[in-house]
Amino acid sequence: MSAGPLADQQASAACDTAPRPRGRIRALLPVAAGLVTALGLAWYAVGPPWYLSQTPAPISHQEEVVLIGLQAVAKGHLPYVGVASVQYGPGTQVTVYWLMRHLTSFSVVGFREAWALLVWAGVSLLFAVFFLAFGYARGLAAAVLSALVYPALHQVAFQPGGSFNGYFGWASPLRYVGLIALVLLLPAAVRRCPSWPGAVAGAVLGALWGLTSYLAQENLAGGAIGALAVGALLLFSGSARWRPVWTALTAVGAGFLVIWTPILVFYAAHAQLTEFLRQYFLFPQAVAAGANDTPWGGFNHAPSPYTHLFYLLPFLLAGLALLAVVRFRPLGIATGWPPERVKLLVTVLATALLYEGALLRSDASHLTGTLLMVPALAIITATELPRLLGARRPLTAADQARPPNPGRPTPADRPRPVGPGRRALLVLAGAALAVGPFTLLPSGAYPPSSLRSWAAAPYLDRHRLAAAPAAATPTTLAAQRVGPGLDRAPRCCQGAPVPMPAFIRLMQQIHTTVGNRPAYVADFPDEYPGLVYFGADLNPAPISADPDSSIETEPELQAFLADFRTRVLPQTQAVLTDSLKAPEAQFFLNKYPNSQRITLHYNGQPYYLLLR
Amino acid sequence: MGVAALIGPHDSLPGPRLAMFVGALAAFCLSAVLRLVSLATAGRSRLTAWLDRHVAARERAALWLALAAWFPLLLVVVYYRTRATLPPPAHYVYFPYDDKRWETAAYLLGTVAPVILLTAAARVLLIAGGRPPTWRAWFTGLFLGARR
Repeated sequence: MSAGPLADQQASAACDTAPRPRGRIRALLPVAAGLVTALGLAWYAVGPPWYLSQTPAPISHQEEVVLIGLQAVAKGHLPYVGVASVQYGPGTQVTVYWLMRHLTSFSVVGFREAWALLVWAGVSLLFAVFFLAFGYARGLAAAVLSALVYPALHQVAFQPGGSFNGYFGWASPLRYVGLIALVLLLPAAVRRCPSWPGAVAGAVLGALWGLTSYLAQENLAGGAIGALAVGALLLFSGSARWRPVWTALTAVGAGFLVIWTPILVFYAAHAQLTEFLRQYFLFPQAVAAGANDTPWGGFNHAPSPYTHLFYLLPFLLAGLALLAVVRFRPLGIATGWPPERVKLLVTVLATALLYEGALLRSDASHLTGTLLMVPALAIITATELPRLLGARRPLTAADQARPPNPGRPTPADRPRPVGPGRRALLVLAGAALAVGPFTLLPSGAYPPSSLRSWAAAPYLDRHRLAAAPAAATPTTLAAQRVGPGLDRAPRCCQGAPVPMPAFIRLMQQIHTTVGNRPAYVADFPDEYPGLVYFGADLNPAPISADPDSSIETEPELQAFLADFRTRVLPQTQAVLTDSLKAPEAQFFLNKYPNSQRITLHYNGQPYYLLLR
Repeated sequence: MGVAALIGPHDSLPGPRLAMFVGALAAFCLSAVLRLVSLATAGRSRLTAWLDRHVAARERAALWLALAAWFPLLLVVVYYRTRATLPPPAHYVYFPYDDKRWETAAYLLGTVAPVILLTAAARVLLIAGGRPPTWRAWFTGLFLGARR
């Protein structure tokens, strides 16, 4: 790889002397091979068929929280606002709903299949970015490490000896891949700017960032900070001139707006733009300010196998960031960075920005984003840092006498041949840097037996699950809402040890009794109300927000209850609750004293239906 | 220290605050002594000559310039750490609350900010070496690159 400066003159010279077609095809071959490999690896690791009807995992609280929004959209409510509000990204709700309606099925199993599709897309994108940013060999190494060793991609995956299972409704690489793609690939777009291929590349990156920000808020702030930081660093280091940086960033912004403008126009046309934006920024702002933040291991400081990683990584990142901008022999601040130095720096930067989220919600789950980048960080550090630190002969007097020229790499940054002894030292240093990150992981993450089991799990699981007989089609509506196969699971839900058939019978009873009345589910024993809305196919009352997802503070709760009593109650014909003392139940009984009260039972506890 | 003496309670200082004042005074005296020594030995110091052999004077100047921009930013951490001692603005119904903005501020100042400041400082000194005559020339040098 050439180590040329990233100046206007070179960019325009590159445009003026376009490569011949045969040379262009030859240059694209490694890129095409990398993309094919990335997509193939992603398909093998997390692609279909998943046989999710044979995943007996109970319906989790995380799934229950998002089910209410899907049910509300199905009943005609506007996505993401009002009763369909959810704390996560709007695009994920819309995409999952569309997939359930048109591709999978409108059931819990269908939801899991839709989620699996999102995970597959996220992993494919992540691997493709690795190959594009790092080249074939290093992209392959980073992808394989991600799939086999680091746990981020195991959160929703073929589990060794099990089925395709995991944290449905929460874990998805799409929550972070927009930031990763933007930060890692922006320098390549800058190098090609201000020519039109560079602008197109920037616009594509911006559109991807916009789309992933629509899917998950995590991509937005980190991507913006990362893009500006990359632009500033390329500019101040003299690695790029103002015009290519400005062109690339403008193209990124344009691509972002192409995605977001129709979305904002849609909600403005429905007079819900303010509410949409409020909902979008509600949770990120609250978390940044302290809501739901915890110290590592929670307030009880529960032990975790990732404690070393959590505490050591920020210092490692700080050290690597400094080493990435320092040159040795002579010691100084590097200017006019070659692509290798830029590659190392953006890898460190992307990892650092992802780790910031883990500082707020400090637990193993929220290290996921960081762990997506740590394999790449290990590979790039091991292969680039030794060379940047010591792969040079000492500067000669002629080198030092040459005056510095802003915008061109200094003589110290140009690669110079090394002797065999120094080469051996570099290889050893690289090996040490490659092995080092493994010491931060739990010891059970990288023994050969673990690697073999994760590598073989997709094949073995698919082979075993394919041999099982297909699940019978459920007959009742509630069973159809759960989905074939899952309707016979030994346990229905995360909160209580109730068999799935018993849960389905209750949901069918509720569906039959409540019918199409506008209904409000105040609570459900040990589970979230979204489970009842979805399982019983209820018509949600037009509440202002989902109280379990979009209400955080006491004043907000009081405002919600006041709105329920004044605006929603006249439009509500059923209230479901496990306690008649719940405020909403009291409002209903006071306003409609002649309402019908039906008592059902769930897990030995009464469950009340108040109807009018 | 003067403000604390003026507005604080008129009794003995708590131990940690007294230790902070003593430490700050000691650092101030040390920096003054070092400055006097550097002035007295200007051009004749073996230490300076040794440093010049390993780290060029301009690189050292860039480091000091970056530090000069970085240190005041630590006040952001102090501000958020102080804010974290205040009760939460509202009672959170379902979630725990732990104001960690000072942690994220310290983290960003420790990882991302040094890189940007060092690079910017090196750039500023590189342009300054050409003694740009006008602010326009400064801007051109900083952001647009040198004229050919």
